[in-house]
Amino acid sequence: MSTPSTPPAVVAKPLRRRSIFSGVLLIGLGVLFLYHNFRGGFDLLELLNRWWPLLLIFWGLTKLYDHFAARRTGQVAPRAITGGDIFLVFFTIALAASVGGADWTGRRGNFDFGAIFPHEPYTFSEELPAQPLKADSPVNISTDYGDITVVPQDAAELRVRIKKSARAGGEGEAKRLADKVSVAVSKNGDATQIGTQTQGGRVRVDLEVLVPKRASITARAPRGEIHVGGVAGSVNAEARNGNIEVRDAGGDVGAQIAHGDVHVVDSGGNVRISGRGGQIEVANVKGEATVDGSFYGPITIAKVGKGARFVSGRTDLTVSRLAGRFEASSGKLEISDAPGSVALVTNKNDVSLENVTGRIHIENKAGNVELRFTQPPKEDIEVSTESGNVELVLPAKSTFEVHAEARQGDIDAEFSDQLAKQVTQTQGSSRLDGKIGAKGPQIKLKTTYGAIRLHKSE
Amino acid sequence: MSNGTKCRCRRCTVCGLMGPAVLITVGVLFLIGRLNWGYTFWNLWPVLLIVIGAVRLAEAMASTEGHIGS
Repeated sequence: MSTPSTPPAVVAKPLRRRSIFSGVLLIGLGVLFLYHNFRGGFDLLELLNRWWPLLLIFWGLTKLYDHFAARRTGQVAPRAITGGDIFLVFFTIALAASVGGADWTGRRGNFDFGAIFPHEPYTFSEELPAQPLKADSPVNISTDYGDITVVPQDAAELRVRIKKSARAGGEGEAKRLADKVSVAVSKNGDATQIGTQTQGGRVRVDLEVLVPKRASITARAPRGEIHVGGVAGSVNAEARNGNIEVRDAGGDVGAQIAHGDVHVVDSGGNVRISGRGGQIEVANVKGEATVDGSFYGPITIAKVGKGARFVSGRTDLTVSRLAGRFEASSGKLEISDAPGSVALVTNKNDVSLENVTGRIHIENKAGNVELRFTQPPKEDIEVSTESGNVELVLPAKSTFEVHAEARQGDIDAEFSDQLAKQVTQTQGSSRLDGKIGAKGPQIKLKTTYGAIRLHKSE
Repeated sequence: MSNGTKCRCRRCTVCGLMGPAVLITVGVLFLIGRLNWGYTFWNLWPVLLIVIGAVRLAEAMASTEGHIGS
């Protein structure tokens, strides 16, 4: 027997196999962060907080794979846990925590690319000649990089003030860069378009547009802020990385955002905010207010003439009239002074309602529910939660029919002695079916793990 | 005798690709940032993790047949 080729001069001793752990983990992380950067909509800190044990399981599974793969090929199995692996796990946690933490501070996306090449920004200002504009015409404004500010004026004309900023080694180069970018005003049917042309990412173009008071505005600033104040028409604003602020708009207001805060104060029409971002503030709206998307909060909606709606990944709230305010911040939902009905489905939130006079329907999964009434309730109330307490505070003169069930908890009906006597307990589960007064709304309360309390208000 | 000889086994070949792959990726990502396609390095940096991960995975899977050296 002879081998077809000469054996290597150095006899290779079986080499230790490498673990697949780091490779697979890094690819996974890359995909996760890419998804986060482009689609977003989830909270990395919460993800980490909830799913970190999967990291250990995954670690173990890859080691198991290594072991069997090594046995199959006759190699020496990789060491079970190496310093590199431990470093990588800490690296993963630190990375997720810091990216998630950056989200919380709301700074993501506002990072200035120029900061890596710290050149002086040079600014150049100019103003386009004023041109006549019909009082109620639509105006579309867009800049790829830079802020948009819309200011109403009494004259029926359009003015555009332009501020270009360019980062470059010298003023000459900056001027050359800035001169390449122009701002054009054109007509598109009824609408007037104001937009930047051949704008590179290095030239920032801030636009201040003066429009007739009754104009309707559409503004698009993917890398900048949008401020609109005091126009009588409708406002539609789309920003990706900056904030949106619309004050004193006469018509409907729409705002789409991907990172950043939205403030809409004083609006004569409906307000609709969608996307992802940080803080949301909506106040003094004549029509309806809708907030739909994932926002870190706090989210406040106050004084809405018609209904308010808030939809997020884990919450769906409809308030038919909101004279007071609604606030959602981490783990809390609060509604005060709503002279209408409230329908709420949520999870992992402590819910608190004060002075809601309409029908109330609340479904919570994990979290407490607290209802306070300053007037005796007139409409039916239905509250259920899986793990959490339910607390009701009612005026002494209230009349109602109550059906309460705490599957693994107590019922404390200190509202009246008569009611307290009607609480029955069987195997850790408590029930209360009772009636106060001859006529009154139905109150249904349910929790699985938690207590139910009925109090009398002072 | 094997002093100065470069190992030509698969794993060592793949391992040698790590440096160039990382440099090229970083270069491409910054370039994309400069081209104003609407992306910046700060959007795209996870691609770097994927590239490093892919090379490491290829390393772990590659055969070490004919490995020279220790």
